[in-house]
Amino acid sequence: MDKTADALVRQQYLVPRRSVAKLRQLSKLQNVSATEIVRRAIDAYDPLADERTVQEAAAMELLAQVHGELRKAIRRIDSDTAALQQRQRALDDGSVREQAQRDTHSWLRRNPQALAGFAELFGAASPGGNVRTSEARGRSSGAGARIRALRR
Amino acid sequence: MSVLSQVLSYGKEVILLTERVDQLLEDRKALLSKIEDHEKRLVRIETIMEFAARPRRVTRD
Repeated sequence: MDKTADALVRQQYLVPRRSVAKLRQLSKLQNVSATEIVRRAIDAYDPLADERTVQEAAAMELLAQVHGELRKAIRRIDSDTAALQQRQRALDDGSVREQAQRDTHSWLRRNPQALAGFAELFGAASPGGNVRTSEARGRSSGAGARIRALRR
Repeated sequence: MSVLSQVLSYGKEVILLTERVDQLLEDRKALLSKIEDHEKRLVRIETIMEFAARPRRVTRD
């Protein structure tokens, strides 16, 4: 606070005697003038301080909650990203492809009759036109006959 | 603007951002699942074609 003579203004206020007594006591204790005590008291007085304290406490509580949620979200995002990266690697390094091949081979071994239909569809092993697999020949009187019968 | 309302406003933005990141992750998961499914289907078709086209016990009529 600027306390030069120009910045100071003389004012008169009515105060109770007990306040004056307290002012003198404080002045002695602090070893400063009574006027300085009055100036400090005025500077220190803040009627909104309580409200601000309550607001700050609420804001801090809210911040703590937001921080907690944010940390949880970061952990969740990290964990999900790691799982996704693992799946992505499996796609990139061909393990998904290999597993699908193994599964298909195993399924084809368990269902050889299905393969016969596919062989016919893809025209397998007929380079000369007259070449047919023994399975294909067998089918013409088996599956084909059954389908023809169903159509009838 | 009081400190509390400012904190509230920033907090809302942080939560919105988190929700959007979560949504992005969910979308990425769904997309990856589709790619995996397509990859598996493609491999199945390739394997079946490969098996079916493989010459076996060829005889002439």
